[in-house]
Amino acid sequence: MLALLEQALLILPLILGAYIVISLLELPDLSLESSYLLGAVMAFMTKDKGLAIMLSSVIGGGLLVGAFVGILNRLFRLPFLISAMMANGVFYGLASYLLQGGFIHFEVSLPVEEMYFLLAVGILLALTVLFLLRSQLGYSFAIYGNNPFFFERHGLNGSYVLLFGLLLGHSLAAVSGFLFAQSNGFVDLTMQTGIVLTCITAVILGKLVTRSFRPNILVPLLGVVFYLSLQQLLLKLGLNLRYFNAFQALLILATLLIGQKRYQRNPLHLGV
Amino acid sequence: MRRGMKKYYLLLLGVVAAIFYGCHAPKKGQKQVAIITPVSHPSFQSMEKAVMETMEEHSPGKYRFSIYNSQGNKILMRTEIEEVAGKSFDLVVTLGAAASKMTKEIFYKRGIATPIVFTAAPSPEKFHIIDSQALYVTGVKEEVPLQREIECLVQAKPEIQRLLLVYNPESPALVENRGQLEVLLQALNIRLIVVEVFQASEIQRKVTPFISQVDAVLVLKDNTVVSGLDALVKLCNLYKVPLMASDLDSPDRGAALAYGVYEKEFGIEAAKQALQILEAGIPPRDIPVTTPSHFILRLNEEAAKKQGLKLEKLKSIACEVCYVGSS
Repeated sequence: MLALLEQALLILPLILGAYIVISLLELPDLSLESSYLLGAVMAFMTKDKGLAIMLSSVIGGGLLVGAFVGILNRLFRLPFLISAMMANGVFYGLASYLLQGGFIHFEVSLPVEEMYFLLAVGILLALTVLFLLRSQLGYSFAIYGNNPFFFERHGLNGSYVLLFGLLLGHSLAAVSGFLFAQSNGFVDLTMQTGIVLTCITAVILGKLVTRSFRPNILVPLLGVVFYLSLQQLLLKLGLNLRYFNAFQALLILATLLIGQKRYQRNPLHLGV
Repeated sequence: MRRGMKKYYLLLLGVVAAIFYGCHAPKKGQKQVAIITPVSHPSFQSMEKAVMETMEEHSPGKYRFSIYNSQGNKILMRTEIEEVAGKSFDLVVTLGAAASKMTKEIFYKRGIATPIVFTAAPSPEKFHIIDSQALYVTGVKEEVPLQREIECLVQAKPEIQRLLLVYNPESPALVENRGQLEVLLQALNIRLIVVEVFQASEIQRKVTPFISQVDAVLVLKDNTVVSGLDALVKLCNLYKVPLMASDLDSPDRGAALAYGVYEKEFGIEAAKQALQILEAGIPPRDIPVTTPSHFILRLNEEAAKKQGLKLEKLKSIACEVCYVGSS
């Protein structure tokens, strides 16, 4: 049970970020992978500088990726998917250069026991996101996702909403990358493989159980719980997780197809 | 009607679960071994097979194997290792550096004393797979005998002055190999030219400008380059430049030479250590980390001719030689 809680706390920031970017803003943001990787790499680069500087640089890494994608999309008018793919290429190269190798041992001395640290980070981030989702900004994310031209048609600049959402979502993903790397004791250039699918599956599961059309913190929280429970259920049934990626893809497909039928006027896109 | 159908569905689910459990339940007296593999890859598959076959051959029916494969997804790998940690396995075999490191860290964190035998992990000391915490860990280290490999290449083509290394710098082991190679070649007065590739599709584009300027091409134990070997073989045939690989399967695909061990050796060596732990009761800390020792030179005569090597020179190489078509 403790192991499951630890796993949930490791991916919670990532799913919180994905909820904002993929679900509320409805952006096909593959570059969450880059933030996740860069968070771990930045932590490795600053591991001797103290926890405060390390955490700042981790968040800085996420902000950098978020700003890069946002600027490509809004300033240079590139389609979002292309911007995200460009970001993945650029930041993968950067991570590779900074790491000087694909697999590096990484050890951090935390001020408290790891589980308490993870709990503190998880609660702090969840409360921050809860506060933001209940504010006008949270509703602005959902409005932007529902109709990206809404703000412009009312004479407002929607770019700020998009940019702030991206910065927030990507810095959360970066924190998750750092937590995962420190918990496993290594940074690996392929550690981000498959995380977008994980994010979409968790968010979809969260949406299925909450059925909320408003910004709701329960979506990512329950999404994480149900995602890990689903894995555990399959393992307990004796199924091999080697096919879990295919299982996730089928689950997403089924949910989207059912969603399309149910909400024909306003289909559930989740950024894809 | 619907309620009735629901009952049938539940019953069906129960039957499926029971069948699964029945199929997966260990027999009495059987020892359980988990094999944690990071991804489906021919090298890892031959290691898995060798572990199972060697142990089964030694004690038929005594071991039950569960293979955990996360298909490159580290979050899934973590879940699988937590699952293994929570079950009562008698031994865990891990393949590659990432799976070995993650397993060791999680087992240490959870205070689990199940023996871990890693295999095909480069530099286990550097990555802290083996350290003061790892009392229950031993295994098989991956090492490339570069000196011997270069000696063979120089014997096959003594006039060599420039060597082209094509490799993926994302792998720390390969970066380390590159450093060792620079030192080795400097002593032999051979210039090293390096082409870094990150994807197999880049090979042809990046190697073409250099191929006419070099006397030989070297490929390390590099999954990226080996998966795109066909492009490299074409270029080497076209420019009559010998291609030397560090895995023994590459001569079948057109490399003139290869010096190394068969991947299954890593599995066999790991299985031997596992048997020492499970059968002889030797604690893992008392079993030294080993490397496979059966290195051979494998030749593809047809490819050697195409790539400008003289057969009489090849036959004079002082090494255990095996020709394509024999293993």
